[in-house]
Amino acid sequence: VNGSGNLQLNWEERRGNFNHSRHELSLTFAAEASIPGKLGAIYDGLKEFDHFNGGRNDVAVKSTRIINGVKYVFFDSLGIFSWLSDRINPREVPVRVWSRKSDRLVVGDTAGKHMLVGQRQWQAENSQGASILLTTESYDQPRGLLNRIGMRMMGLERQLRVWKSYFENIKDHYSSEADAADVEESSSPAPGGGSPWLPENPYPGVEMP
Amino acid sequence: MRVITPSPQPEDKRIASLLSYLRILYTHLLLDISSLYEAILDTLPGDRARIARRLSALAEQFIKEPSKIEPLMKIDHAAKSHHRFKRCYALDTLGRLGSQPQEFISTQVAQTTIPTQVDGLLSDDQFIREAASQALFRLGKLAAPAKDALVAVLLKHVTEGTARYAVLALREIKDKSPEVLNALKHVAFASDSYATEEAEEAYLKLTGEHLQRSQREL
Repeated sequence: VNGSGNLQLNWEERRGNFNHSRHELSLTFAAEASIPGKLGAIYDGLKEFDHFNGGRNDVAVKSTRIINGVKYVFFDSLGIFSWLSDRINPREVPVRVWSRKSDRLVVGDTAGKHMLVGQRQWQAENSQGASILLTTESYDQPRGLLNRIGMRMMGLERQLRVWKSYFENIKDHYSSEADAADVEESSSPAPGGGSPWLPENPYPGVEMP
Repeated sequence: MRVITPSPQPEDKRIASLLSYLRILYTHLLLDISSLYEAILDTLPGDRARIARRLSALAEQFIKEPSKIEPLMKIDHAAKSHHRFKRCYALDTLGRLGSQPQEFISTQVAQTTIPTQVDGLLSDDQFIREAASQALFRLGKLAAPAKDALVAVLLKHVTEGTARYAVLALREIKDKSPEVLNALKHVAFASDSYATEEAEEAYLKLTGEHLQRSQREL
């Protein structure tokens, strides 16, 4: 459990075209002066997935761990592809994570027997004035034929729901101090079919300056 | 007068051990059937959504009328489930209730559910430990009765996100006892520690002193 088993990046198993998805959430706070502190807090929450469990997220739960100097977040994936997932993937799937403080970027690469092959990034930026824009974007594809079938059946919808609900949890968390519109979501085949992002190799460290 | 206690006959011992064996088997069978049932349910589309809806509705009920404790007891019961998703979701719900600004609500949550949260912290399942640890952190200083369990989890699971929430919880509890400070040192200096910086900050906040590498010995 969590840490045993294969934790190697699974990018060698990529086949065919990638999908691109993006979610964004804009939070507008009352005072511009509070933005640096808020940005720091939001980034801390993003790199630790503090707002992932519970609330609007009725699909998955997470746990995090450092193994041999590398940070992983594990997702209990059973609900992601439902019954099919449990037959073709392990219950817990790892994502290798690192982050960069200077631009408040968090990067996750799929590993082991994750049902996806790809990369997801999360970022918080001061978009304008007292507003902070949170984005999460991914280039990924199902790992293997069975996951490809699962993805067509219901996997993509569930995958998008996980990240939308994660941002909705963040929105709820800041609801007493920030105005926010609904989380925006888009998903489409990646332009050109490939991924412009590749995993950093070797691992850059848990957190870069 | 001498009292003679009859020594157990070999047959009695055999029956006793058979009964004990059957009792263990029965308990495990019940547990396994219950786990299997919940695992099957978990694979059904919408089961997790149903659990989340129910627990969220109970939380709303409790917030509306915090003097009526029944919804809170139901969430507490779910936080003891063998079903990982349900248990994590329920623990998270307790954490959200524990961080409500209304003091009456968070106090009710602490008084009623800390033993369940501590059980979660002691779980063999890392997902559950982490959810419990985060819930206790959200309780702030009201999590003080969980101090010993938080210290224990730090010493045992320093490489996990569980450790970070436990450190943050201890920082909020503001207990400066030697066991807390030693646990923070352990987290600050352990290899693959998940919460080095948080432990250093908590130590500084509690003692006013920076941790030095020379303090590595525990």
